[in-house]
Order: sequence, then C-alpha cells, then structure tokens
Amino acid sequence: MIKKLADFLNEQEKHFVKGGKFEKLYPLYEAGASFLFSVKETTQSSVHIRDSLDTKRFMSMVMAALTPCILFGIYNSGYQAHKAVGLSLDLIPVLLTGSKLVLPLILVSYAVGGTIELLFAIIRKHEINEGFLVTGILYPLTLPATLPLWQAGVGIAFGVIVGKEVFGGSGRNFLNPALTARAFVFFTYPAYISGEVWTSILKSKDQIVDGWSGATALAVAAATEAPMKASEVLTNAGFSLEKSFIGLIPGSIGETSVPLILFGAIFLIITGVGSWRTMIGSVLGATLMTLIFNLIAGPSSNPFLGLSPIWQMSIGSFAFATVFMATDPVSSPSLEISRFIYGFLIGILGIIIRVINPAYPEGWMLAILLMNVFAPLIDHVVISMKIKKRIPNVV
Amino acid sequence: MKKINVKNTYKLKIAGSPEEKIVDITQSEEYGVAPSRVKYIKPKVVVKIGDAVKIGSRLFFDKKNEVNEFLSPVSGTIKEIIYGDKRIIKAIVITSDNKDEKEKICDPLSINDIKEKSVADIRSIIQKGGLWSSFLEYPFNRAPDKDEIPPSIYVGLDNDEPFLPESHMFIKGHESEFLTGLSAIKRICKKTYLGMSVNCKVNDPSVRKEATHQLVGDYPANDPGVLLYYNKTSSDENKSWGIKAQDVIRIGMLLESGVYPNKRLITVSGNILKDACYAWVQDGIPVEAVLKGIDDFSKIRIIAGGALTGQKIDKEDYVSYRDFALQVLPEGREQEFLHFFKPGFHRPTVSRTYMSALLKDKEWEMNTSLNGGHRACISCGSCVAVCPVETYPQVTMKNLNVNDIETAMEQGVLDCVECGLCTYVCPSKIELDEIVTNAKNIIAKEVGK
Ligand code: SF4
Repeated sequence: MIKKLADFLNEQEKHFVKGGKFEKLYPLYEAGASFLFSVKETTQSSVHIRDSLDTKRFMSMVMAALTPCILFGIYNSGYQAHKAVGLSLDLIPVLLTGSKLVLPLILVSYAVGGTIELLFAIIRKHEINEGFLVTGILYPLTLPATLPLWQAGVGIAFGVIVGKEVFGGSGRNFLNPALTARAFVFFTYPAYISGEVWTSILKSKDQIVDGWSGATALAVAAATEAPMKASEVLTNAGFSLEKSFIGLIPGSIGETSVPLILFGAIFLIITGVGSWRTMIGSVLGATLMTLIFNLIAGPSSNPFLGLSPIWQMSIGSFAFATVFMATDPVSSPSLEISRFIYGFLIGILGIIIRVINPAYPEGWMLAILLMNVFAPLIDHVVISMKIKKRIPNVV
Repeated sequence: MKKINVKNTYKLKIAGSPEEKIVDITQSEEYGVAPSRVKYIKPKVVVKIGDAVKIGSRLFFDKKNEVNEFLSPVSGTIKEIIYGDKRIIKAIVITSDNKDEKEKICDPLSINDIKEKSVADIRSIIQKGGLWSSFLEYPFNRAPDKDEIPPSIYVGLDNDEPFLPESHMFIKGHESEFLTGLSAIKRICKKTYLGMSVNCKVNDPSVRKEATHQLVGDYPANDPGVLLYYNKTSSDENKSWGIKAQDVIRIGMLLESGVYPNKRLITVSGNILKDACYAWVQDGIPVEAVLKGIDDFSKIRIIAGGALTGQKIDKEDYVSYRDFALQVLPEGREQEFLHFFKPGFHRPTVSRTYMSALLKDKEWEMNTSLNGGHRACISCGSCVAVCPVETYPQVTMKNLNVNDIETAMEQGVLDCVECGLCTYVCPSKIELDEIVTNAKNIIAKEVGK
C-alpha cells in the first residue's frame, strides 16, 4: 500500500520537473512528496554520505516541543471563556469551546501563510522551506483567542511577506516572521491585542462573541499605581504567582503556562535544536535588569519597577518568547557566543520596554525584533574579534 | 612531543570496516591509468598506441608543471588511449607482458647516501620517479612548482577517514622505507613535522620517535593541513607542503630500490562485501579485479578514497595514483514513509534529533542517500561546530554567494583542509565543501596556480 503510494508519487514526478505539464508547481510536488517519503536523491559531490538530520526533522523537533503548549492553549482558551460567563468547567465542554476558538486561528495562519509561501516558492523556483511549519503555529499561539480571523490572516500575510519574502525568502530573512506578524497585528489593531480584551465571552451556550472580560496580568501590573505593590495588586486581581506560573489565566493562547514552556525548552536543549545560550542569556538579562529596577524602585515610583524577577518571568510572554521566538536560528546570530550576547540583550531590552513603556506591555516581541535587526552586527563584531586571533592566510 | 587537541572533529562510525588481514591482488592482463582522475593537472600524454613501456616509463605529465610526471605501473604495450567528453583523457590502457621490466630511475640509496646527496638531486629523483604529486602545496592542494622551496613539510602518519588504511597496517614491514623517505623529505626543507594520532597502533620505536606532534581528536585531526593550522606561527608557513605517510613509504621505496614503486596497500571495504580487508595491489589494476563477488553493480557506488573525500568511480576504472582505498556503498534510493516522524533508531546523526543519538557505540550501515532535500541555510551552526580549522562555513558561504572573496579569505577560507565534514552535517544539504573548493580554485587561478 505504502509502496504503491511511493511508486505513484514517483510516477507523477515527471509532470513536475522541467518540461513537465506542471513544471511551475514543482515546489508543491516536492513539499508533498518529501513530506510523505524521505528523498531518493543521492549525493553527487565527493562527500558521499550524509548525516540523517534534515530541515524537516529539525522543524518537527520544534513542533514536538510546542505540542504541550498548543494543547494547553486550547484548554485554557475554553476554560477562560467558560469561566467568564459561568459555564461548566468540565474537561470536554471546555476543550470543545477551546478548539472552536483556537483551531480556526491555526488553520487561517497555515492556509494564508502557506499559500503565500507557495507562491513565492513558485516565483523563485525553489523548494518550500519547512521553517513555515513552525512560523505557522508560533504565530497563532501568540494571539488572543478572540482575535477576528481576518485580522489573524492579514497579520500572517504581512509577517511572511515583510518578515521573510522581501528579504529574499527563508534563510535570507533577518526578522522572525512569526513575530513580524504578531507585531503587525499589535500595531494595527491595538484594541484587540494590547492586553485589555482577552477572554472570549459566550453569549449563549455555543455562540462565541468577542467581548471584554478582564485585563491580563501585564495590563494589571502596568496599571498599578504607587504606593500599591504590583505583586499584591496582581494577586488580588486573580493573578497569584502560582496561577501565573501554571498558566490557567487569561493571556495569549500558547504563552501562559510556564511549566509547559519549560518542558519545550528542555526538549529543545536536549535535541540541540534550540540554543541554550540564547535562552540562558535571555533569562540572565531579564534577571539582571529586573534586579536593577528593583534597586531603584522607591515607594513613589512606578510599582512595576519593584516586581521581582520570578514574577516578571512568570507573567506575560517572557518564557514563550525566550524559548520559542528568540531561539529561531534563522533570525538569530549564527555563532554560539553571539547567541548568548543576543539572548542577554533581549532579556535586558524586553524588561525595559515592558516596565518603562506602559504603551507596550509586551516587551519581548519588540525586543526580539530589534535584536533580529542587530543579529548580523553581533556576529560581525564577534567574528572580527575572532579573526584577529587567526594567523592570516590570504593571497 | 607536543600534544595538540584538535577542536571540532567527528568520529564517523560506519559499518563495513576492513578486517586486519592482507590479501594479494596483482594479476591482471590489462592495467590502466587515468589522467582525468588526477586533480588540477593538464595532462600531456607522451606515449602512443603500440609503444612498449616498462615499469616506471613516463606516460604523461602536467603541462602546467612539467616536473609533475606520471609513470607506468606495468611493463607491456600501450593498448588504447580512451578519451571522454571535452577530450579529457579517461584512461591509458596497457597490456601487461608479465615481464616486470623496470626503468632504472636512480642508484639504490641508503639513508646515509641520502645525506650525501644534494637537495636538487633528491628533488629530481622524486620528480623523475613520478612521486612529485605526493606532495600537496598549501593552500591550494596542488603539486608544488618546480622551484618552490617549502617553509616546512607536514607529514600525517595516521588516517582517520573511513576507510583509509590504518598506519600500523601499512607501516609494518616498511619501517625502513618510511624512515628513508622521511630522511629525504627532511633534506628538502628546513623543518619537517610528523603528526601521530594518540590512538596510533604503530609499535616500532624508531618510527614513533620521529613524531613531533601527537594529535588528539577524530576525523580529520590527522590531516597534515590540520597540523599546519595548529602549528603555524606566522603566515609565511601557509605555503607549507603536506604529505601522507603512505606516500612517504613510496618515496622510500623509490630511493631504496632505484625503481618506481608500483605496488600499494589499499583497503577494500564496505559492509556489502563479504570479505572487507586490506589488499596489496599493483597500481593500475582494474577495479573489477579487486572487487570480486559483487553481482549487481547497478545498486552500489564505488568510491576511490575516503567516504567524505573520495572520487566516485566505475568498475571499469583502475586503481589510480592517489588511491589508497576502494569502498562500496549501497546507493541510497530507498524511500521511507514519514521518516521525520519516527524515533529514528537506525538513523545516524551528529545531532541529537534522532533516538540513534543514544546508541553511542553502534556502527551504522550508511548509504549514499542525501537524507533530505536541498534547502536554504537555516543558520543552525552545525557546520561551524565541525570545522577543524575553525572557519565559519555558513558565513563564508554567504560571503562567497555575493562574491566577497576578500572577506572569505580573512575568515580563513584558505585554511580549509577540504575534509567535507561541513557538507556531511548540513541539514539543508548545502554542498559547502564544493562552494569553498570552487572559491579556492578561483583564487588559485588568480595567483597563477
Ligand atoms: S550546517 Fe547548513 S544549514 Fe546549518 S548553518 Fe551550516 S550551512 Fe547553514
């Protein structure tokens, strides 16, 4: 059966290669065939054998690391919606509602982004890069479950085109396309995403409408006024440290649960797919900056300054951004040392933006995009320093 | 002896290594040499069909570097000169007369005689003896020009690429020739370095004491170019020469006997062979005569040399001047359903993305599958992590893509020893080694090499 399928696909190949009827659609054929079966292509250069790792496996490792966050995101979206209007909190109904909210967003993201990806692959005559599998899921996980689908679609279109394709496509882009998409939605439709409107409200049993339910932890923290303590206000608003950590709170779909993100982090580090240097760098940077803020925080200053590192890292999208966004290899610098510096600067910048600028309660998105831009510079500096130590070999 | 820890090496664990047993395969009616398989030369053939040749008769030389001569491995008559596309000379076929008549190249020389000889004499014997191409002049890996004086010569005793012969196998019984060859090499340059692996199994103390460096690391730690990279103290040394121990032995044989050494020890390996082992072969023997017991050649690839640097050849080819290994691998055209979804206990990888990473000591049955599709670089950094001379293949590649050769050189592209590991590990299946080698060839052309 499977053999037949393979034969069938190989049989069809002639239509898609140069001179075939559907020559233009080769990227589509290649994507499908190489998704189902490993390639039958053999080595042609003097390196006769090759490692088994390919980009498909690489990207599917990221997908595996994300799976718990996706599942929890579905559950939590349903849970928050039901809780807001006092519906049953049983597992099945909650999951059903959650799926209704989240799956369409994921579908839209893949459909819109995937189509654009395919179009560019056809125009540029190259294979579809698997990186999109990850972009297509990362993006919806950073959205509130209530975002209208068309906005989500516009966002991902913008992310793929501007974040990736205008720079020449996968491998040449220096911005993380998922974050570019998220940033676009953030700036274009601030009302939906700035942290004020998050949870879905159910009007009647199964009809979902968008509505106001409550602020996210960040919005609460940012709005705290002196001399109140941010941590107390947060706890009173239902965002106790414990809850914020576990993640059964309103927030972006996949970003709330720190333990599950940690699971992803460990998975990425064990498989070597995510750079631990970036992650550690970001944690250190954020801790350092938070401690500095803690030091300068006085009774009458912005109470957000006084929030301890553990709080800062449990709320908002710090964990998710550090583990899944900052580690995107394409938009990171390429050398290990640079990756540490890059992570560290993201940590510092993220906290600064989050605390100092209440207009952007989510600092990570901007911090990472900004550091994406500087990534080549970090590499350049590191390489320049390293080649000073080399004995020159030039002619 | 200095110890050098070579960074970023990798141990390739492939099934099918040769047993430590030596067979003799020297009989064939026809032999051949293939000028087209000698890299970077413009061959000029000096024999015609019907000419009688002896062992050591000149067959062709490099028009660009006339001292680089190539000699006949047998005595007999020239049967055929086969041309390929673009008039490349695919083979000069010689019918053996089984007489083993030899051309005298010099008087037999002992180590003491070599001390008496002038440097010019020694160089000229090696050139006339057809072994000048044993030397590689860095950074372009070509045989040195006639008058080139090397700042130093780096000798690599061990091989760590699968499945080149291991040093204890080829040194055994040839210690004296090795030492003679080495003494000649020491005469032609100011400084000679001999690198030996920490795992070297050679027992002979007279050989061991010649080693100047001990190298710690897997493939390609024992490449002479790697030793050069770690040992050099100034850029004057970039033009050093490198040579492998087996070639040193050949030079020793030439000097001690005064005739062209036309036999060599090669490995015949691959896990589809029933009898993978070492073999003494006569140079120029048809590949088919060596690889016995293979019924179907359509599903395999024959590689002359190592798995990461060798040349793809056919069964009609001949064991050539630079071949010390013949290896057969299955052509990897099998397709696996949803391969990236499975645990992958049978998929060897440098990374930790398949369960195979847990099986530390396993030897893998590898084939020639590309193991993935061609993609854009994802900046994973794998190539940087396996570069023994600490360059940044992906950065270099991107610079070369925009023709920025200057920056690529600053970043060390000319230190590249062409080991192929970067290409081996790349998940996007980018032929990094080719990109780098092409750039080096462009630079070589510009400087007239
Ligand atoms: S191994 Fe390949 S994909 Fe990874 S950084 Fe190097 S060139 Fe890019």
